[in-house]
Amino acid sequence: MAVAAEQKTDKLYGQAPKETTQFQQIVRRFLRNKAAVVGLIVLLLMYLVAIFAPYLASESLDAMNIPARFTPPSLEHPFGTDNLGRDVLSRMIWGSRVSLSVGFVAMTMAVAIGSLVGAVAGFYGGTWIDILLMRLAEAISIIPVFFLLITVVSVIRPSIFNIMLVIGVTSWPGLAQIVRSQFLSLRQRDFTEASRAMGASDARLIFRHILPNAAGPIIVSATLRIGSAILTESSLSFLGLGTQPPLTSWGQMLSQGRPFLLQAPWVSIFPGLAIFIVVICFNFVGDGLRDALDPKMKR
Amino acid sequence: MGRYLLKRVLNMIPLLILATLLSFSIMQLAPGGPEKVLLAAEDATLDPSRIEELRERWGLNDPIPVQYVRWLGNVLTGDFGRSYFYRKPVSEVIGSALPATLQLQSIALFLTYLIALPLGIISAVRQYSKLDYAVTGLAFAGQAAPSFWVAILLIWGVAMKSNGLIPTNGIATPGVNFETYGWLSVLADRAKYMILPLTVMVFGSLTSLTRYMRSSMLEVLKEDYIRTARAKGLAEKVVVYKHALRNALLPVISISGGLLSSMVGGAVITETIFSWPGIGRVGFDAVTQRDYNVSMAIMLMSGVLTLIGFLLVDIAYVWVDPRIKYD
Amino acid sequence: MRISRRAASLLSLLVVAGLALSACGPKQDPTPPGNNGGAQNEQPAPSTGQPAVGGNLNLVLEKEPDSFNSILYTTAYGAEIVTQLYATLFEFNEKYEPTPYVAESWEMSEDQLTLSIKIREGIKFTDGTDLDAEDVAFTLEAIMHPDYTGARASSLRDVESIEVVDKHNLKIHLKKPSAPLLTNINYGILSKEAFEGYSIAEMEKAPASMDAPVGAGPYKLKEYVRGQYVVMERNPDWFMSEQYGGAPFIETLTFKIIPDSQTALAALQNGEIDRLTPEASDVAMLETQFADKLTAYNWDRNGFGYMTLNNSKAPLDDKRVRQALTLGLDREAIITGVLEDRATIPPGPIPPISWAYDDSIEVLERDVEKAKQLLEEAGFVMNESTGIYERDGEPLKLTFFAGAGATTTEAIGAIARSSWKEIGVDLDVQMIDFNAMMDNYVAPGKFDVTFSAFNLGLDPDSMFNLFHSSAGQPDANGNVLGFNRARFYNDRVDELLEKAREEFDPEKRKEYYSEFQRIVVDEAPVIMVYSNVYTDFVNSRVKGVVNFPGFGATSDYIYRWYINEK
Repeated sequence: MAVAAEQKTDKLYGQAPKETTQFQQIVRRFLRNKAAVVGLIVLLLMYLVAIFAPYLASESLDAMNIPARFTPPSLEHPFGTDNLGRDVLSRMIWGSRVSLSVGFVAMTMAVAIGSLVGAVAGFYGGTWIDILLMRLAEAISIIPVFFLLITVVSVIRPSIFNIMLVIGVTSWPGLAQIVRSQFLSLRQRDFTEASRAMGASDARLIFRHILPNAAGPIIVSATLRIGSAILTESSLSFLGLGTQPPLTSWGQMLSQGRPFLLQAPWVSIFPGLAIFIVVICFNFVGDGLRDALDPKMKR
Repeated sequence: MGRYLLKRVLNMIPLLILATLLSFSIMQLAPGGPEKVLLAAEDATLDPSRIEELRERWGLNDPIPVQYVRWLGNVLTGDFGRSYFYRKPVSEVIGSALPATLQLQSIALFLTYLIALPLGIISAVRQYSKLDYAVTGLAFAGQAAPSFWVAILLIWGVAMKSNGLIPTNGIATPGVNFETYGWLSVLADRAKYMILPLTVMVFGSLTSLTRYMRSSMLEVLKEDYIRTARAKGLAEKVVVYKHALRNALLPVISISGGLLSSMVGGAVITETIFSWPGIGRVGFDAVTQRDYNVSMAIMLMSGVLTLIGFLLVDIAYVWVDPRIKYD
Repeated sequence: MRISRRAASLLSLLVVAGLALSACGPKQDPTPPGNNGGAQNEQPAPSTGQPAVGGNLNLVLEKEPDSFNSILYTTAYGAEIVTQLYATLFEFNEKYEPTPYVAESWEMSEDQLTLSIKIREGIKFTDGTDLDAEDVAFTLEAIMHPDYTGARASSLRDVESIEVVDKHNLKIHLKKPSAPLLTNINYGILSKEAFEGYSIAEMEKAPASMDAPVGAGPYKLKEYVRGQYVVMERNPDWFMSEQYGGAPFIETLTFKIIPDSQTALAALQNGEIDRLTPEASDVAMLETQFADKLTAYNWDRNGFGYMTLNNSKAPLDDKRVRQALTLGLDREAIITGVLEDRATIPPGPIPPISWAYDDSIEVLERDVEKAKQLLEEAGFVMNESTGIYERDGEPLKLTFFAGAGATTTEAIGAIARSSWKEIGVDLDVQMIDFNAMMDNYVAPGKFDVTFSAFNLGLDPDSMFNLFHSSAGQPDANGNVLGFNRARFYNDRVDELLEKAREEFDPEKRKEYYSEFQRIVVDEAPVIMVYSNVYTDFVNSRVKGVVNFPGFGATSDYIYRWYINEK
């Protein structure tokens, strides 16, 4: 996206674009941010674990062993066992599939809808399109998401897809507003005016010229959103309306381990840590991306 | 500006109607009505005609649009109906919950801004310094740690070790009132109950504000006019706080509207763990008890709150960025 | 989010048996009631020191009390308050026998169709007015009124009419003899005067239903702050005070609303509340680490957690399949894995703590081979590739519904799933919102297995509600609203339950119930999963606590408790 932003300068000064160099620059800039690189590696590893869960988990999802309940972490059970003697590590490996996809799918939906609506509304700021789109965003954000989630999950059975869908469909308005505000101020900038003077179409202006300049806030918000979607799923689990058994998620393991927090802390601490690490890694990566994509960034 | 605001307020009304109609329909579609929650779950050999009678008495057999219009009409006259579950006027059920929530949330919101904005600015101005990393780490940890985890840690780690100084839960000591104890003791009493929930809420919401502030500040600091200002030899402080801050606040303001709206629903878990008698808990119970009138009143109030938030955002925009003009 | 065990236990008690238990002869009998249950009941030492008036007791409510009206409230949280506010006709002693309270004496006619009650003289409501026969009649007639909107109508089904003879005498005329009558009519007496000007349909709007309740119980309402606490103060004019040596002794009761069980646990340890029934997983920790601060009261639950099987839907309409599921379920695993061994397997539908329990019934041990054999007899063939039984090409797959929100039900579902897999049955576990589950799946009979809990209350007549066909008849829409959700229809069981209801001779009643228990165990319409052994922890500064069989350190006897800081 920064490539597009750079093109703007190129066009203005009549130079040929240098796409590969730009991309290499971004990569180079990203690699310079150690936290982001570590975050990315950790995330990639986690997603690999999720994909290859059936080969990695030493036990099946619901293999229980009551006599071995609450075994502390050991070589055999690195993260210990839970109240039914299930291997916590194995369940976390299975649960990573749910947790990681909830965040990603819900975020993608929210970002796609949010940036499109925000961009269009901001570009046509003050016109009827802006008003209509923003009213829609507001109408949706008027309904408290969490109550809506609870109600919807009661009406239709709670399932991982329904949860992703509801989080995705209801969490875009905030992002739309951020994007819109960026557009409101960007559309009056010199470069926009210049491109417009050169006969660029509205769509081109929105997607090629202004949107890339708003990429920073969008990416920051997207990475935060993955984290909050994972946490929303765990809140729903806290209320018992999360993933259906025998499937599990880290959030569900966390809340199911809560009654045993004092006598067997490992049952909830490891899933909690996993959520913690994933959310932080997403934030680091988002941070690194933001800096790397920003063409004006100089270190 | 005045005309714009008036228009904005008028626009809100259809919006509210749309949002409440939507909520009303979803709620009515949820299986299990209040009459069943009250009777079928309790009376072991219930006569089914009793259920029908109750539905009839409460007008639940009418079509949803009819019920909605009746509800709206009553609300316009200031009557929010009765809570089926608590057998009391709705105003009584949520009357004390709303102030409890507003009290906690507004202080939390204020503290969040008070802490997050400076943190964001500092970490932007001193990008990649140790301080920046520390702030980033703190902010990230705040969001990444599930709130009920932090809450439980605080109860066991702080309240239980404070020798009764900090209570584990609740909002006020029974019997501590203005008349007998004076406002100072009352204030101190309320404050000590607020410490833990406030910590959880502020810690949890620091992330987004700090990050937005940092990111948008960085963006602005690289703008030409900032470079010009620096080139003119202006002091860094003047550059940052006078020129950059205003513009950097824009995107931050735009997420504030959302923060207000999440006030109502967002605190169910914090309220539950700390026994804070707020609207989130009442709302959650109302949804599970199918107490339609109570949940509708809460939806409506949260809608109004959100809209007020949006309005404030609009005003703040014009105030901060004179380039934005309406009309 | 989760009805507390205490709450759950009170709930059914109240519904089934009318307003809860109350006192027995306290002064003459200082030792806590005997050990009816058999499990490891530890008896606290008899209290020392003389009860004195004073102090404050902090108690916990998991949720907002719903109503302070003794015939309208439905939750256990409302019950905690109502129990203190109102006086009832009778109290029940440790053997669940009625003793005088508002009723000074009573007599059943020869034909067992008329109960004459003499109301104690000189009882005053907390507003200073007299409590007399008119008030008793008003309370009962309100429940029988067609416009009554509460959930107690069916308890007075057998009552024909109430006749007020004079100020202190009334007669209850019955349609047919009813052995559990005294528990069914035992509601908190409302003041007729306080409801003047309100119709029965509108009685919830009277101040006496809300913030100005008028009762004649041991405590009265002092302060109610919604969402936070209910403070009650001692009723100095309580009419039983003299008889009980100046009771109630504790000056104020503060019920704090604490919705989260972990928070409540912290509050108990911190001394912010004085009584709690903790999760099974926390009992051992409290017993060892807080032995000096808290006194433990163990008690056997007069009820059980059970799985309802849908008896009218294939394949569970076949007795052999139901028996196979019973034999296949690893109940020991549930008791260890979910309840920390603080429970027992109930042999039949009437727990050993009840006088009606037939001790010849034994717990069925888990038997995988016999279960498989029964399934094969029912026409199922093992599909070796899936490990699941099949009949006519259809795999034996069942759906288990349970209300969302409790770690215990999730674990029970997981154990059922894995233990039935071993007998070749595939189980799909669905945890959803309780009301949605009832409305969409359980009431219309679109389920195979569901999990719930039931408490018997004071009289085993409550079995009628679970197993009599009239409690399982679908209405016009095909929904079963009664508690016989198993849709179990057995003529002999119906007959026995009816006979037991009309029989006053305890020996004969016990015989009827014995046969009933044996049929239910054989027919296996439900699977009895566990009966809890609960532990109530009460702060050791509180003395005189009554550990009532089947109900523990229940609030009904708080007027006998007193506080001794030493």
